[in-house]
Amino acid sequence: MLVNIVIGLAIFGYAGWMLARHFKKSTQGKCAACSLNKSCNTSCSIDTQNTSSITELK
Amino acid sequence: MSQFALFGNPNTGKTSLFNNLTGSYEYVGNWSGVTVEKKVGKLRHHNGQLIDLPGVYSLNPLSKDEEVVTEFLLTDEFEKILNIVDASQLKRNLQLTIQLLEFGKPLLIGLNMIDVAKTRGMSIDEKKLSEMLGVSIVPIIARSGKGCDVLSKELTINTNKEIKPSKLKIDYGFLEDAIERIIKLLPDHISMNKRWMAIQFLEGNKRVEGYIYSLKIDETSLEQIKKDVEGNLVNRGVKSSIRQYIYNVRDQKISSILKEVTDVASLKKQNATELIDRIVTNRFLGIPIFLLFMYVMFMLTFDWLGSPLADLLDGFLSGPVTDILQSVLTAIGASSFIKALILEGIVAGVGGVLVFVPQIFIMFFLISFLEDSGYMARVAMVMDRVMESIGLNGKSFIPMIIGFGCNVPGIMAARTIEQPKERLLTILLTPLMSCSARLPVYALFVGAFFLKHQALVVLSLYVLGIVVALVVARIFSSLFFKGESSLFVIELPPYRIPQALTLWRSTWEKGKGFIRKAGTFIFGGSVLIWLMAYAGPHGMNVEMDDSFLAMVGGLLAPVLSPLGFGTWQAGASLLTGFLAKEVVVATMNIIYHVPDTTSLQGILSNHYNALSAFSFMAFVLLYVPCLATVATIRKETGSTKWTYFSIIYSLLVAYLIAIVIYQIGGLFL
Repeated sequence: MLVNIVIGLAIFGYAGWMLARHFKKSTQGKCAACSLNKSCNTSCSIDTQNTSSITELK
Repeated sequence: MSQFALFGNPNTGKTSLFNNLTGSYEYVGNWSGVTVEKKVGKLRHHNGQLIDLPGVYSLNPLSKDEEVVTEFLLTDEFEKILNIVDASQLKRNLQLTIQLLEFGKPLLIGLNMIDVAKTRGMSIDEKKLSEMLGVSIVPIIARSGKGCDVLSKELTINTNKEIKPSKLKIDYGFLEDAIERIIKLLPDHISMNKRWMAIQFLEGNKRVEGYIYSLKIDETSLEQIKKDVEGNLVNRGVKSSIRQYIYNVRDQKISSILKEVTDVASLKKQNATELIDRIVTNRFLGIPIFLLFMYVMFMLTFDWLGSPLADLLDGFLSGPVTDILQSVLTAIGASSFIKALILEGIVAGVGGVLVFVPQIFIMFFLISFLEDSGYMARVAMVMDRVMESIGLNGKSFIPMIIGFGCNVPGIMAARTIEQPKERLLTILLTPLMSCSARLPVYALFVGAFFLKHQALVVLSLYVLGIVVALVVARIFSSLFFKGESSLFVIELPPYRIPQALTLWRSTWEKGKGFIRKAGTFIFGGSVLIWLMAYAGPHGMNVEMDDSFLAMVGGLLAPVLSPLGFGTWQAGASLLTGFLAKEVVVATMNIIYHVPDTTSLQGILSNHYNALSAFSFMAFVLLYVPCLATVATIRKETGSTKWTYFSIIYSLLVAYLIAIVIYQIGGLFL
């Protein structure tokens, strides 16, 4: 019985934590959501000088 | 302290030379655009400062980087120009040199990469070139530092601040009259070379234009001169703009100089890169060759290599791994709930996605190979012609190619596009590119319904994504983004055989995210989906058709019915797929809880036929971008309106395409 509770808690706890983390990271967008964020040294390091200009189109 | 300014085209070794001359350790990159802003360093052996400016092809600013350079010329004090010229790309590099000579400051040329030019069978008579241009030239190899001492010495002698007209004067033909008229309008007190300003003004250099207008000169007279020149161009039957005309005159001059200073006989010897480029960037062959490469890539990913490996992994996961887990769970006295959770939830969900790891890695390996070999840059160039016809250019295709791996970095890469409207359009189109997360869905369905034509069907989906993007771009650019365009300039690196270690590293960097995701988010998602399928309004362990998952999926089923897959299972998979597209496969594995992929493919044939399977794959390709992509679009555009727009339009396009495939396809099959 105890084994079942421990395994159940561990699995649901980990699953919940992973889901919450994924949701948080994904909704942050940009580099946080990117699958290459650990190794990428191009896009993320580009200065965001162009970002402001696009907001003119809103 | 004397100040010297370093000018040159991108990727000519400017930063290497800067580091060599100043002894400072600036970051050196091997792609275009490393120098984003000007940097200043102290010269190693002399009293003076060297200013490193961003690499530009011309003084006429197209992007913010290039603006920095014109701005510098107009406003900063410096003694001498150090122009680094790539000896192997002399024709293109001299375009900038001529503009700098016209500026009139003392100029010294560092002729770099003479070693590369020699290996290409090009011999340059530096003395003659120096005489013809009227400036000193020092041959160097910036990478190794050869010749840099001589260059440094030459740079610091005979410095004077006085601006002299350049010895090389290009005759711009009938433009000369307009140039004279502009010079007369310019006030006497300005220290700048008036001829240079007049030519830059006619060329359409906005920064120079702004500067001239700030001098309170009669704008209408200036505009009239420009109009006269434009009219003159039309009268003479010249179809190009003033800018193109000036470019052509300079180009002719450069060609005549090169004829004198380079060994024409040896120039004729084509190097391998040029020979390959002639074929792969050919106007008619370029796109078919690109499609052929993609076809071979999918043949390797599915038929030849990937599928057998995926089958082996599938057998391992559904055989020994499941058996061991089952016996361990029985031995420790796990309840039926825990057993079902682990075996039918986690193993089915996570395992169902993990079996496609070999295919994902093979595809990433092949993409890395094409990137490292230098071919991908050519693809952007080949696509430039097509993209131009839809109101974009080849630059927008680069984020799209990156989007084949993952849409998020693709959208981030759109930052390199200077023109805001083109950038926005590229951001909206990139999610239509088939990212690697969609690959498991294709692999599952082509394995079940198109066993003999796996590669061809997957290729057709990738092409469908590109074609839809092009059509949508055409519509959007005529509806929202009229009349704005920019030029596309791309550095074509020489072809090379990629190094094994670099290839492996680049494949691993791209692919490890997929494995990490399986162990983290797919795990969490699988547990949640299993729980929703296990529980229902009437309690736990209910029939799957009475579960919460069936209830939620069932809401979508009637809407999806005209597309050929109106089941709650399809609805539930697509809904969960919004979180991450791999989850579509995980959900299907859990819903149909079968021991392995082969059995799942068997069950799927009860719910789908070849036509509805293709319609489903097309829908998965095009329907809403995943959560991470949506959030990135939101952040990058800074606009909620465009974010909702990207979701709604892709959903509508997906629905329309899927309905056309299923309904019209049904008439023929």
